Amino acid sequence: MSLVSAQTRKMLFQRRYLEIQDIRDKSINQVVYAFDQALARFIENSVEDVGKTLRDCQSRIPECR
Amino acid sequence: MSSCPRQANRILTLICATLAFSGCSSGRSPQDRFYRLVPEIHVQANSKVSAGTIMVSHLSSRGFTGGRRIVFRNKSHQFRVQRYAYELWVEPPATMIHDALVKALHAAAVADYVITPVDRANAEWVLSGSLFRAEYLID
Repeated sequence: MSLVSAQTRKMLFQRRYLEIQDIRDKSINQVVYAFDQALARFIENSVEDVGKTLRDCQSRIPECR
Repeated sequence: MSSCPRQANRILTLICATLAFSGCSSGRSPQDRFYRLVPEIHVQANSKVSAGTIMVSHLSSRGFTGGRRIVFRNKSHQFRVQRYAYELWVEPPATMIHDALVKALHAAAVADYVITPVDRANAEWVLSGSLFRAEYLID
């Protein structure tokens, strides 16, 4: 996942992969549930990073754009 | 009188055909099962910052990842990817993740506007991503 400036295509941040590794040998229901939970945490962290990056950009717009 | 045997024949044929059809449909076909991702996301809404508009692009996905089949891989056959016949996502995973992300960005009020390509508006910022693999690894 990456956030870029639309004008300059400058990369503002790039986020790591979401990897879930401890859900082997479970029913599909359990796998989907585990995926859902991990995805929720991943999105929460990503949204926090996006918010922080954009807030920082308010004080240094020329660098961001 | 001569039409009676012919009529009986016709009725017999009809009964046979009915039996054949009912024979075909008597086996219970497995039912499809659909799964949806509904991540419960908790974010704090920012005090309004004027960060312009952010566009959330659709996540790119290829192959199985772009479809609705739930796929799995056996540890004993590491290179073989298989798909369940009757277990399906409601929508492709990339679409469900995109929707959840947009909803969370809205809730967090990270920008004045959170848009998607459907909105066809200009944005100052673009958030994009890729879904490379979504498969269930079975030992």
